[in-house]
Amino acid sequence: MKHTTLSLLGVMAAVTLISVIASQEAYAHGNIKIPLTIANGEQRTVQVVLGHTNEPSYGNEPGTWDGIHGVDITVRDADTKLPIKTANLKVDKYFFKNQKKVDKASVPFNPTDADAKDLGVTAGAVFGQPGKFLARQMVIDGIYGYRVYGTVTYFDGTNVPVDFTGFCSDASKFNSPGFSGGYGCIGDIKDTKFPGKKHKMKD
Amino acid sequence: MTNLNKNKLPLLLGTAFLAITIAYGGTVFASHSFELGAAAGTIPDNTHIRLNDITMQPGDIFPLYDSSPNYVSGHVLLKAPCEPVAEGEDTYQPTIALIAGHVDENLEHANMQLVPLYYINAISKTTEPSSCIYHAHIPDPLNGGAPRVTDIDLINLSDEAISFGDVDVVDINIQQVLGSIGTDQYHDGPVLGFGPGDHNPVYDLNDEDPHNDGLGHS
Repeated sequence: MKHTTLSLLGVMAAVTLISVIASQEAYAHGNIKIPLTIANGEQRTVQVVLGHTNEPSYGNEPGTWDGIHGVDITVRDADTKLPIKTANLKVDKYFFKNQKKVDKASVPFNPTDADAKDLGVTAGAVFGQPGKFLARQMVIDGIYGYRVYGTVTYFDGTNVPVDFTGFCSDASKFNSPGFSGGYGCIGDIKDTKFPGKKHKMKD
Repeated sequence: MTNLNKNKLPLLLGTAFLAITIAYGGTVFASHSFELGAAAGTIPDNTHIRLNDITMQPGDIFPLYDSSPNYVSGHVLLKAPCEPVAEGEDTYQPTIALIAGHVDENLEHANMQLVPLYYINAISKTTEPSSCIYHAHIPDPLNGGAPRVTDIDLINLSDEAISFGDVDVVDINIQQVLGSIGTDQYHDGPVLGFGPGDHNPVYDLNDEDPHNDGLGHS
């Protein structure tokens, strides 16, 4: 009986945790628009959208949250929103431990200011999802930013160079000109716990 | 030869002619780099409209499809009376016009444009009474037309009544929703990309003119 009650409580706690996480509003991704001239001389615009998979995103917490939030890139035609399937994209990944470190760093962004970096990571096409490109990763709490670079091939075969930097919202001062909107930084899953450390409970 | 076989003879000959024409006629069913198609495991929405016995007077509009508030991607087949794009040309244009875009209750957000058409000469009849077949891609980011389509209509932009033949049709196959016109509105409208006497832009992959092939096919 005791065992059954404990199991039920465990299931209820898990369901509550999942509900709290799932009910949070997802951050919009940031994006940049890149103009191009197609073969007939007309102007078109490619839109590259950047964020994390499965937002809001939280750092890995063993036994609670896997922290798998890849670098999520969507490439599409800005006017029609048709996905563009062909692109050769790489990502330079940067990490700051906390806001103090971001505030201390100067603008424009200098990669040597970051607490960690991983350069030249391939953002591969996602099977069955045209226009989606992904660099898989497991994240920890902190402030992330990415330089995305390479080539997008528009529908008529025109190659469009891509090179921009987009940081999560707490470090948007490092963003390339033209990068608009934003995506959330990596939070602490324990902050979603209720009742948690922040909450006083009756004795 | 039995009666059954006699009845089937025109059908068999027609099928054989079509197969040979397609095999030797070039890229009739070209694949376009921007076509999205339907996602695996989903069934596209198909609307088939018979135009027989319909006469459209000058200025008449015949609404065919409205997916508001979603703008969509898909494919249109039009079979309608046609004429050469210019005297002596072997590419034909429909006498009726196919338009697409968004019709909004608030005209500021309305945008309708002529749809670029691909002329399918192998299965078109250019002797009187003529009736030609066209394919169109919704949207067509390379060859033009409205970028976000919720509405598809026929409109008579000529100064004469247009009567459709017994087997004239429009077939609209909507394959994916691309977004909501509520969040991706048109502005500064109404934008109407056509006027009296206008025809759809017509591309032809199978004539000898390389300048009317359009963009994006392979």
